[in-house]
Order: sequence, then C-alpha cells, then structure tokens
Amino acid sequence: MSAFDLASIEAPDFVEPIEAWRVWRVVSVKDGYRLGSVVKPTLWPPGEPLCAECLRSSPLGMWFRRKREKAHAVPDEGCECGIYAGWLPAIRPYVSDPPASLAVGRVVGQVSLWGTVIECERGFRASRAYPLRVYVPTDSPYSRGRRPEELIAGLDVYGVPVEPLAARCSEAVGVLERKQIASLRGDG
Amino acid sequence: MEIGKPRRTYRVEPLREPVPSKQQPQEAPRPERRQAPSPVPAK
Repeated sequence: MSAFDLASIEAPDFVEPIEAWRVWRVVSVKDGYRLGSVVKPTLWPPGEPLCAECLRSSPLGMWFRRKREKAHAVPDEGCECGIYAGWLPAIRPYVSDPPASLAVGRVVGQVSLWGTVIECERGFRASRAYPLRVYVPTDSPYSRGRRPEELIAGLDVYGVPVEPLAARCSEAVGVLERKQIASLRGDG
Repeated sequence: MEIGKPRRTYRVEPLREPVPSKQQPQEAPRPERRQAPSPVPAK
C-alpha cells in the first residue's frame, strides 16, 4: 500500500456508538408491539438498524425538491433530518405529551447512534440507530385495560433490556437522572 | 425534539454493529420415533 493510499483512508472519530435518550410511542401491530417516533410515522424495525431518511416535507414536496436540487446526505447540518436523541432534560417535554395517533403507550429509553452523527446543543441527529435499553413507566399504557407488563413482554422482540420504571411518565426523567447519577457514583 | 443548533459532525463506525442478532424461533422437539408394531400377532 502506497503513502497515497494510506492518506486516502479516513479514520472514524469514534469506534463505539454514541448513547443518548429518547421517547417512543408504542404501536400495536399484528404480531406484537413496535417502537415508533413520537413526531413522525416511522416505526423502528426489530433486529435491524433504523436508517435515517430526510422526512422534512410532504412526499409531493420531496418529489419537487428532488427534481430541483441534489439529494443530500442524511443527516445534514443544513437540514433538520436524522434520527433524533437527546440529553435526558431534552426529552422531558415529550414524556408527558398527549397520546400520539395509533399509539397504545409511551416509553423512554437509551439509543445507540452511529454512522454520521451531528452533535447539537442538547442532543444528536444520526444516520443509524437502534434501541439500547427501554424503560416502561407505570402509566405507560394509555388504556387502563393494558398493563405495563404486556408492553414489556411485547417489546422483547428488539432483543434489548426492557425494564419497568417505578415512576409515572411525568416523573420518569427525574428518576432516570437520579439512577444515572447513582450509577456514575457506583452506588449500584 | 428540540436539540438546538448543530455543533459538529462525527463519523461513528462501531467495530460491531449494536444490533442484537435476530432471535431464531426455537425448533419444536421432534417426537420420539417409535418402532412400528411387529406384524406378528402376539401369542
């Protein structure tokens, strides 16, 4: 390999995924439950990474824009696209949001981000993501007939830890912050 | 999600993709093979 070849190899900035927090809506599907974005109609596929697409405008608007300009890489600093995740305080407003359409519940959790990752003031936008750990608050299911245990069992399909959180959605961020501090201190 | 303005872009290439391998459905145990009854009637 020549010096020229070596110079053309770019080393990545990180070789471990970046971890951040987000809120998901839980959607009931034919064979169980899926995690979904609280803002977009995107469902997270189990067993494979979620790959970001630019969903900034309507499909028709996107078609016109594609005709006009070159498609950009996702995420792009000049756009708002990418898979979002944030610091714990950044997710607080979304934990207590009113139920999203078609959702049967709401959960919070950590997510692994990789590929192209844009660091922002309070979080990240990434090109690839997969859930890392999911917490199910006591009032996570919207329907009184549905129990948190049902969501925990149904989200097992992602193959990551899904744990009950002994707190209501409105208290979840505070409890998780204390949990995080305790784990950093090594309190168990 | 309100995460503020972009600061810096990173290239993140994990050595191992952080996606658990798909759970294979467990194969049901095969019923034990039984020997065909002997065609010779018992005395």
